[in-house]
Amino acid sequence: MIGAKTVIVVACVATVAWSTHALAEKSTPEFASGATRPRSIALLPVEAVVSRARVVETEALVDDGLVYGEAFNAQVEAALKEKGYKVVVVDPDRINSDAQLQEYVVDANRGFDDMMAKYKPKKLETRALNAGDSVRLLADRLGVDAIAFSTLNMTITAAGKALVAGFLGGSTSGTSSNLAIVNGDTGDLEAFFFGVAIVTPGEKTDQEMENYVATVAERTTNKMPPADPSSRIDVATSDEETIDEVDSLLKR
Amino acid sequence: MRMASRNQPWALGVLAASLGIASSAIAGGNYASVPIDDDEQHLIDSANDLADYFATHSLLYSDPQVLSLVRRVGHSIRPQPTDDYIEYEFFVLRDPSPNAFALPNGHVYVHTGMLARLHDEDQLAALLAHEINHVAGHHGIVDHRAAKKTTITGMVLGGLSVWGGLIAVGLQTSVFGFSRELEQEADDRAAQVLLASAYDPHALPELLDILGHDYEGLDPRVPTIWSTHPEIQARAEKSRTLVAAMPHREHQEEPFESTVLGLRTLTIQDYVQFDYPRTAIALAESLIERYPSDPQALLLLGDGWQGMGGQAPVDPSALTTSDKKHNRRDHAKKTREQRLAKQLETEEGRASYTQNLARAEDSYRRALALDPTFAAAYRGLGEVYEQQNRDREAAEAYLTYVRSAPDAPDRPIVVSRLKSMAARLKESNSDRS
Repeated sequence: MIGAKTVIVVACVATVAWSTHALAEKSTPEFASGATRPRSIALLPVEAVVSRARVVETEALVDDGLVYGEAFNAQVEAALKEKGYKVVVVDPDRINSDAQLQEYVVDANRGFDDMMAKYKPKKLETRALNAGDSVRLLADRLGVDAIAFSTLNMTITAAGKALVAGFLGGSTSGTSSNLAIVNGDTGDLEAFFFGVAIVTPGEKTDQEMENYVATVAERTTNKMPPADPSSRIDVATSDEETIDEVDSLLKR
Repeated sequence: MRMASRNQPWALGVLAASLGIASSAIAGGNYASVPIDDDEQHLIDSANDLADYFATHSLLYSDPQVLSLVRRVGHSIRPQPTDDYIEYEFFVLRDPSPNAFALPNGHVYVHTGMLARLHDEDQLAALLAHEINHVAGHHGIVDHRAAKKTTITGMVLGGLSVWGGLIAVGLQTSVFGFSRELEQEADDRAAQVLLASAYDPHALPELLDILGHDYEGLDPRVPTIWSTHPEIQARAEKSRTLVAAMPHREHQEEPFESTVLGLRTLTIQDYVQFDYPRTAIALAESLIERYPSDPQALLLLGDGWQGMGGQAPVDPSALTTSDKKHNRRDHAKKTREQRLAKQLETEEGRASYTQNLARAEDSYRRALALDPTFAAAYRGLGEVYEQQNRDREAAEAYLTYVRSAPDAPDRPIVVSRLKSMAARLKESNSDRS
């Protein structure tokens, strides 16, 4: 019986390790080569869920989600800037003070969520994943090449719960986050990065929580390649030039 | 992970469930004062925080007229709070799923997708009366206490035997059984609330009938606390019996109708965008019935037909459960493009695609017949022609659109289509010469 359990545990660990690796750094070949790698990225507010798993229940710490979400976004912003990207931070205040922008952000988030519900690495590589026109409109509005969507999940587990989980299974501590880069011209998902950090059971101080956020943000962004302005092909054509060109082609 | 935690694009139910409002109680409500302990106070605090969460994530629908309507109706039928942790307030969430929910702190949230399906103020009152009774009966607190007891029992049994896990699942099933009682209790009391107000109690079964529609042939429908309830048809019948002897009152269509018109349009656009074309078509047709000379309604109908791709119109009631499950799996796993490619592999799919595009074209042309200056119909025509490989006509329609509506929000998208079309037109011109 113990042997079987050991095999199951090893298999689970291997599966987690494999799936983490599979998720860790996926991108389209064009993104990897630099052809579609952005120079400017708009960073939307992170979707952060912080929860506390106790013996009898798990509760969402809504307020903490907002606080640590902000901290995570600040870390990601700094990391992307360090890699040479121009980063446009779209914070909630800016979104909520501009009705049109709010509309675009809500639609883009939905388009992104819908796309990610169908996520498979193979689909990413073959450009089968598209977040739709809403992301393109948002990128156009913000004047950026790409939109970054991110998620942060933190679970704090009471020591008693960790003990119970060890025997019976259930939620354990952990932090994970991901960062997805969507092409602002096409709406295609270009790259997906994933990071995890182990959180020891027991209550955490604010400083400890911030440290976990910093760790997981670093692990999520460290595989993101630096900006490569030289490799991105840009053909600047104004809207009016395009319209006139099509008009003249129709008259021929 | 984002994809795991948010794989239902319209589901706010995860958060709702974590606050203990997702219908899993094992007892009836308590309509007297219910003192709470520190742990339950934490639940109330979290419910209060949720309003900030929705605001921060731009999920609150802020049209002042719609908000004012919902708040006026809600406050006119709500009882006096029995506890100081309850403060009735009403919000609208920008979400096209037909849903509404109440938190134990008295906050009631109605989705735009729910409002868009209602016909009048009386049905809104029926909806809010139901939700208010979840608060007044302390269903969230009762549910929270019941969930804790169930979890503890399950853990004890789980520790005793290898079957413990299964027994715990069995307990959960009984929990869901009791949940129907709570829903029924809220329905029953909602009828009484309506009777005591100026609204028509018969709006309650009407509301449940509306929510029973499964336009897409998915199983379950767009999954929400309301629409996934297994007994919605039974609840409609039961509430019909309940209100049978109650007086009929004239429904108030205005100012409800004029207030929610923009919201109806927005919701249909959402259904098109998020690949629920049958729902979009049904709601657009309903809009055309109300506003036969409005080109916007015809535009939405055209967009709905375009969104159908190669799907044939079906009567969802003719679908088997297996068909619906298959549809749902396809919808969840495959992109719109993947499904279209699959549909176009069959003759039936190609025929449906042709017919759907023809229906879309007809809708756009009818819109232009009503108002030849209605620019958005040209955008629709351009899209139809582009899919039919009629490049020159598509380019002409797009040009008319971008010139007639230079400030249209989707101009960048249409211009990018013109850009890709320019290359094809060049090729076609050189072939001709």
